[in-house]
Amino acid sequence: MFEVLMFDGGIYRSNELYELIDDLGGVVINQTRSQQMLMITMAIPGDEIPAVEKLAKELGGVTKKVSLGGTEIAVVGPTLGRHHMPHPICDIAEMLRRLGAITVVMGLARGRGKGRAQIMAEEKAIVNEYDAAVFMMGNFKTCIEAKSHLFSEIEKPVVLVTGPRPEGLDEDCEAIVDGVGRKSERMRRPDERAKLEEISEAMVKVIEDRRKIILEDPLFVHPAEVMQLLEGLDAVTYNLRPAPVVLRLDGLRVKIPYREHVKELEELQVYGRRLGDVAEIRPSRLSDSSTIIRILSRSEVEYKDSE
Amino acid sequence: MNITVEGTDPYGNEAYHELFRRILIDLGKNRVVEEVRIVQRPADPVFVYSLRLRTRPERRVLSDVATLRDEPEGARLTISDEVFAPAILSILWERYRRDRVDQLSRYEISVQGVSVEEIEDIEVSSGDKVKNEIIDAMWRTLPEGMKARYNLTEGNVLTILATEDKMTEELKEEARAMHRAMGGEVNV
Repeated sequence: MFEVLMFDGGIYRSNELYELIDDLGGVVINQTRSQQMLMITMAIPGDEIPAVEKLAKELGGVTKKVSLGGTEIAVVGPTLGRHHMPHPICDIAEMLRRLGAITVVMGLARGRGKGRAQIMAEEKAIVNEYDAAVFMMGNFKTCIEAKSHLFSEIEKPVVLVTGPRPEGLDEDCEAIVDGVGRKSERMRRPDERAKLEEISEAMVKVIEDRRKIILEDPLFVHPAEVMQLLEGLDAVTYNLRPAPVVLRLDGLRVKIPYREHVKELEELQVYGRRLGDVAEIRPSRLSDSSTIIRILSRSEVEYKDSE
Repeated sequence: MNITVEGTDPYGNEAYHELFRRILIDLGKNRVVEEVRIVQRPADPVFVYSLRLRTRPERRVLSDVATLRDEPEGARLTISDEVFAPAILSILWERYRRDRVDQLSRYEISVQGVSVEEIEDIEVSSGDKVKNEIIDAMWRTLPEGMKARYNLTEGNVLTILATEDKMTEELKEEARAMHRAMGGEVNV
């Protein structure tokens, strides 16, 4: 069983760490280098974690379990205008990234206005591609309650972040964190940092619940193992985009064009099966330069085989 | 600067009080504002912002903010209102290049090869700049969806009424009453 770990240290002898990850059958999910500092998010088989921790300590770094590692989360605001961006949406996204999530910040095209706010079907489909979403609302109770249609039909779990606590919206989202609202500056004060912790705890609980549901009918193969296969593809190796392969709870996002590479992806072999037979491969609604691979559960594969 | 917020949403009132205060500080305009009154009814939705500046912003030329005299090398200025020093330097540098404009001391500037007559009427501050910046602060604060607006911006009182729906004569009259109460003039 893979677990996601984050290494936080320096670049000194980091090649030894990369070699160890490879030797243990793990995979690097994301890496961030800032001058001499290095942060690596990795998926490692659970029983090999002590070996990684030992080397990390020797290299002068630290390892920590990241509760949102291997997830992709959307942070959604009504618009990308100055009223809603960058604060506090970017602070929330950064907090989730520190817990290992890959985040995307999104603004709706027509999300402004109490009576006129709307979300397009395309936007709903895009949000539904992520493992979960945070919807950021403002400071007026009546306005938040009037805008519930923006997130009530999202199929993935939603954490709603607002100023005042709205009423009657508990069925439309997994969790509500109030006391935030519009900000004109970064959330730096202790009470504001506490609110960010509250938001991240709510999201961690949402993801853990989702993981438990997946465990009840496990995936045919762990997404990290498919990630290892994808790293052998030229289109991924020579991809210039940061994090060309992103892990999600039930699969991966591969940032290569669907039409050009779907055949190649379907023919990848995993445990003696074609990937195309044990996963749904489709183009991303966000852009045709990305492909979504949703790994089927074991029972889904069995059912498919029986047909 | 005194800000009062009245409205039907207690959380929103407190939040927007702080939001507007912070936006004015960030823009460096809190010192030019004397009083602000905000009325907000988000359920309708209607927002009225009325603001009084400490002084009426006026157009200023160089001779208003500095004493000028002719010297053999060119014009010599002694800045009398230091608030305008950055603007004076910036405008003279742009017009005559840095190598011809010397800041001899904190208040003294020499402009080579230029007579007093040539520079005394250069505009240093437009009265509209401060007002436009304050109006920008008000637009930044108002909720983004409130696109129907009624503005009263003559003199040193600025009032903006904003709503998402139809702008009615009744709402306009409410804005005018607030504008007058803040000391503004309304020419209807």
